[in-house]
Amino acid sequence: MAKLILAVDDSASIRQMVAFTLKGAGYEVLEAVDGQDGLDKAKTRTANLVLTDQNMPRMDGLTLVKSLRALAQYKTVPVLMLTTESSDAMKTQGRAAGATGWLVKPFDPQKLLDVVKKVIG
Amino acid sequence: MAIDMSQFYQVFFEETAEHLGSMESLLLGLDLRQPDAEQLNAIFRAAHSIKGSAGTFGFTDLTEVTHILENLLDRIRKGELAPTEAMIDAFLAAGDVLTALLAAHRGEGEADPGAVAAICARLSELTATTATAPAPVPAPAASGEACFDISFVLDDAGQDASTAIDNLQAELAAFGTVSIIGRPSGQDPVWRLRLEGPADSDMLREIIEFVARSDSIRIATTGSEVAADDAYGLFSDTFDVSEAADDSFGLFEPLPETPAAAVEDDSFGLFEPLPEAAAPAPAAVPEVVVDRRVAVQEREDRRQPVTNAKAGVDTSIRVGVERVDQLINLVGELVITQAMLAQAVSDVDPVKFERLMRGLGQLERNTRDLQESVMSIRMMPISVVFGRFPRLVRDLSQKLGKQVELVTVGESTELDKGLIERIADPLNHLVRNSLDHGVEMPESRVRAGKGPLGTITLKAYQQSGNVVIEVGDDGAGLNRSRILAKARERGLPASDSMSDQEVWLLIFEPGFSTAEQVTEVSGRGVGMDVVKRNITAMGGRVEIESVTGVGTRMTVRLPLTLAILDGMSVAAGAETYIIPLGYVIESLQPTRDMIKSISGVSRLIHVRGEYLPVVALYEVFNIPGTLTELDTGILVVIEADGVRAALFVDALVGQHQVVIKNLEANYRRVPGISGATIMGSGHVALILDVAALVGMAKSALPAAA
Repeated sequence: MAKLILAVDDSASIRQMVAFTLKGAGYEVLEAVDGQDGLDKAKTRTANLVLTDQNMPRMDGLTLVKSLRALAQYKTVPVLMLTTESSDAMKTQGRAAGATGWLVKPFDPQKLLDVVKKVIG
Repeated sequence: MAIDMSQFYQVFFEETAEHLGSMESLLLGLDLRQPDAEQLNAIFRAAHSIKGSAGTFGFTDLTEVTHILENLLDRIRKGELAPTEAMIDAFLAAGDVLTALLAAHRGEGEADPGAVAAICARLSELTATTATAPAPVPAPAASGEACFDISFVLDDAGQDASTAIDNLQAELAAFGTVSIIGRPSGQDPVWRLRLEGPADSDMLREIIEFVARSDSIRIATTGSEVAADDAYGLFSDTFDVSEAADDSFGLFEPLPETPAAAVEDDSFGLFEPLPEAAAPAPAAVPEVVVDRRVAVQEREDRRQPVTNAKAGVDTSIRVGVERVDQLINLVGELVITQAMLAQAVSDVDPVKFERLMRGLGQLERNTRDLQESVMSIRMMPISVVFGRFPRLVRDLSQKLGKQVELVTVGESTELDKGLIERIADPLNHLVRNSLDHGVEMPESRVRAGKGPLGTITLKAYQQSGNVVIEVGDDGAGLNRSRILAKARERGLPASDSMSDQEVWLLIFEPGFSTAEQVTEVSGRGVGMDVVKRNITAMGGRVEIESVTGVGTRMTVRLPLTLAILDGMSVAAGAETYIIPLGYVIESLQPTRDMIKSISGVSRLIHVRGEYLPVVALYEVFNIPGTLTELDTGILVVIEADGVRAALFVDALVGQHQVVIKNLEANYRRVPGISGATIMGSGHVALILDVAALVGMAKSALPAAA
């Protein structure tokens, strides 16, 4: 069965690109438009990997990661943050929130796939 | 990876245009004295999103501008900088540049590289003047003293390592202080340098590429700057091992320093494994890495069948206007068919054909509902038009030295898309006019006992089948004597006995302009007469109310839609005509004593103390076999442009909603006729152009009347 990836981004174009790329590689993709939507959708199905933007309306990526980690079924699910920031502060916060890693925007589809493969195969 | 990124461009364009729009309105709504944190965040987020997507889809010019913009906005939202009026101006200008760039990418118009450079310089200047540290490079990473950690593996092209490093150090010294923080040792071939000073990592990379294997170069900024060539990262011991093993694929360099090394790569990292998180994910990693080539192959294969898979979160679909119009047209035909059926059964026995009658009643209701919902597809909120005015008012009032506040009411009022597009220009003109001629300079306002801040109010609402749009100001009001004087000067029919309402309407006459000088703001060759003509062409009307010293209000009334009209059908001879209901004041059967005539002129009718010219339909359209004596037929009092006339017809037939068919497109333009429709009987009825008919009546009268 195809692995399920939850892709959370408020930018429709990025979301489409991510979804298209991942679906093309045989993953199943569940899309969400912001952190809150992501959390709601995460509760309906347990994803094998979560990709989330940081800066989003309603709920940002860090809060989403924290909220996900509070859910029993998401304790061990890898979460990657797609972010334009790669500062130490972001990393410290990301790590503290419980994220597995990060991928810096802009990225190309190949790089995204490489990282996803690395994390969930 | 052969993914065609251009397939996402359309979505990117729309989304970016939306972000730019919301950024502009947020900027305009920002209270500089007490900036709202959430608003600042939202502005930042808009710039940030544009930058993120633009970068991903390769629109570097957009990225360049948004990058600087985002940096400034980020510092503002973090409270490091206080927003100023100059900044808001620059941000708005940046928004304009971005809009132009976006249009150029869409293939609409040319990009202006000069404008990009200018706005980047302007924003950088703001950064520089407000930054704690100087920022001499207008490229990305323009604020603060940057510090770059550079790591690379020397090219083993036979050159002497120490000479290469010495040369490199000398080159890099141009950018700042260079220090060697790590030399190759044993298994580790990596050199590490630290550069302190303002530089652009792309530039650094180019220099280092002379001596190093280009795939091995890692440049990381420490400090809060965003490094231009960050890629991705995973933090964790397990993942570092896999990265090292991955070397043969040229993705990661062996940076064998456990997590710290990964941080230095800065482009990709995994956080420390969670206490119980380590097991599932990392376990799978080694095989995947080993089988990378196979995996890529599989991926190529698997991609084929799902290429057309589309992202489908949106709950709306985009449809071409012509398809909607076709739908509306078909529904129009259905309405006619339904009316035809209704007419066909009008003389059958309703008891005998009870089920048929009930079915037809049902059909009528369904048709009406269908028509309404189809029409609503074309409806758009007027905020689409209103949205452009905050910016206009801000820019113009600055240019004119006036202080003006714009208030908008009823932005959610809906209007047909065709009307929305066509009302934008006339409204624009009315608002400019209010700004230029209505609202006074702050000093004169204070002298007149008002506050220095003038108000322009844009208001939209629905009123009995019409959409009403008001443009009001609290300025000086129209000057009756000046308008009259000007009108006489221009040879327009004007007299002191005219009512205020009539005097105000003079400003809509061609060639009329009371402004002492033609200003850049409203005197742009297009007069108020064009405004009025455009509004009339939409089936609308414009009225003016004005009180000296208190203000002026221009009221535009538009039909809800251009496709359907409430009409009164009248008969003249064997013909049926439709009078748009909005123009009808009353209908009456005249008595002989109401009819007057002036020598040499057609007849007048005396109604409620007013003498109205009579327009006989049979005369205008040469209809044979009609009634000719006024007291035998019906007079319909119509009003257009504040002028009334009485239309003489044989009889009133009824009131209908009619579907408007364009006569010009199907036949040719006929004076006095604005369109046609098909009646329930299947006959064509012409729709009267009331404004033109009233004009005919007016011209038939001597000017003194």
